[in-house]
Amino acid sequence: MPISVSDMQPILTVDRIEVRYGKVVAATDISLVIGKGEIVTLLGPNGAGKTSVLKAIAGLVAPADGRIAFDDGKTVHELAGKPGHVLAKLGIAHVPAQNIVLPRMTVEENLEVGGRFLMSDRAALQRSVRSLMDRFPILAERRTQYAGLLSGGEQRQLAIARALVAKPRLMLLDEPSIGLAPKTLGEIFGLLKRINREDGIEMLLVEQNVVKALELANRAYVMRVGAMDFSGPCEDLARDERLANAYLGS
Amino acid sequence: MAEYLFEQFLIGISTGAIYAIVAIGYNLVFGVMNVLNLSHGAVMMVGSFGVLLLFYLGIDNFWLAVAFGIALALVTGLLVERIAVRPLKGNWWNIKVATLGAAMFLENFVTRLTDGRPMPYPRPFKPVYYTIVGDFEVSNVQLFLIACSLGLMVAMMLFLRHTTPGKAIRVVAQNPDLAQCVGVNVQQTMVLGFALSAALAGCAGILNAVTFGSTYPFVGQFLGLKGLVILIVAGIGNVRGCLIVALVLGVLESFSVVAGGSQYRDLVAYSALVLTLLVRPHGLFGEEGRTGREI
Repeated sequence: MPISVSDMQPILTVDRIEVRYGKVVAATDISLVIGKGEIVTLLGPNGAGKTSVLKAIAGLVAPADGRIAFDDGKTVHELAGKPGHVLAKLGIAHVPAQNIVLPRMTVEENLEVGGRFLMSDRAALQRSVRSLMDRFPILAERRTQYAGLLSGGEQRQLAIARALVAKPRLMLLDEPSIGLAPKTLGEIFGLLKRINREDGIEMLLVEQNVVKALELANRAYVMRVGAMDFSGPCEDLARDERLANAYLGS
Repeated sequence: MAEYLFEQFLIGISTGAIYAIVAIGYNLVFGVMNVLNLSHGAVMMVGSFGVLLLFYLGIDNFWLAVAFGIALALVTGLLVERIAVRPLKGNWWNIKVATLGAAMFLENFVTRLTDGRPMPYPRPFKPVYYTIVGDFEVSNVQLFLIACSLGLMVAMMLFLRHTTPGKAIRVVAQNPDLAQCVGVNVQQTMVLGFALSAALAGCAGILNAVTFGSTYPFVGQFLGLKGLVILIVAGIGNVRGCLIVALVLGVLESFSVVAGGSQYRDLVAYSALVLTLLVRPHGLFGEEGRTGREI
């Protein structure tokens, strides 16, 4: 049963933001919403500006225009212009596309870092790290290894687990499929689905792997160079020829 | 002869430990901000003169003077960060020139205030010599200097490894974007790295002045260069490597003085630098591809 935008309570509302690097405009007039319980994916060809939009939501670049509102269940926070570490404290966990682990720290230290700056209760942090190691057996197995020595799939799992340590409200994932073998990719996407269902964490996913992203997400937004093109429920978009046109050029 | 060698060995260890503190000061700023702070040596000099300033003002307490010297170095370092580093927004070459300018300003400012001659330096206490075995002797000042330098190094390593601000520094050094994602205030951590580096510079300047019994306005040039040599030979970003290379270099320098005279002292350090750059440009303990953005 697809969720329609009208009867949804948005936890994130992005309203006509513009992202620019100096004079270069990366994306303009971008609006999107994420409803309660949803996984939303942001698609589009290379260079469309998807990562820039994600970075603006995560606070790694300040949007030049527009507003971003985040409802954490109690209050609505204005995010635009706040730095990334403040957003992390509000419960927004961003997993970038590349360089996703701290290579010169062990797996266990990487996990601990995920909550060290966000949780004041040290005992709760230790409990959270331990329960994540139970949930990700490969990380427990590798806990004393340097994270830089893990395989791509293991690093991806570690980054996702680290984002979960402080129990976030919303996860922003930049190309979780990048560099993964098809089998590992299936595992990671299955993991994301479980996290969404079991932990009740909403997700915004930037993806190049359109087929997999449409399978995982509830709704999709499709960007064209620097602007939003169209959006809709994933099962409709999977048969929509506008999607092919967006990638191949119409 | 054996006693003389032993004495030189002790001198080597204590100068080596001071070099290590200097190199780690560079490393902290380089790590968190990816910039080379060429005013580091001048900040050491300011620390050493801070001690003298308090004596000059009539407060005759060595330990209070040391605290004041370190605090003065810290404030100077923070001012350099505010004036010569932060406004340049990470521009590698501009920051090198600006911090070099800050060093020249500080050195000439102090020269102006003091007429530039080497100034005799107070000692923490009267030297007492203890006999270990036979003719092997060690003074309490020597022991104190070695204990202070090594203690500072160990404290620094424990701080970086186990405390929350120490971890923040290590996370920012590895990946500033990721640091934000896990809730680290990157700007604040950079200032903390700069402050720690400046305080360490102050300590190094004071320890060096006590070792040689004097200080002068350009003392930081020689110490600062030695620190840089160690940073490059050990490999940027490696605290333990810095300590090992610094101690070995200190002892080798001391023995080269025994073997050939004091003119060979610097030859050892710079030969090590040239050899490292030829054979292993990322340093003995460094990782390939981590030699900074544009050097």
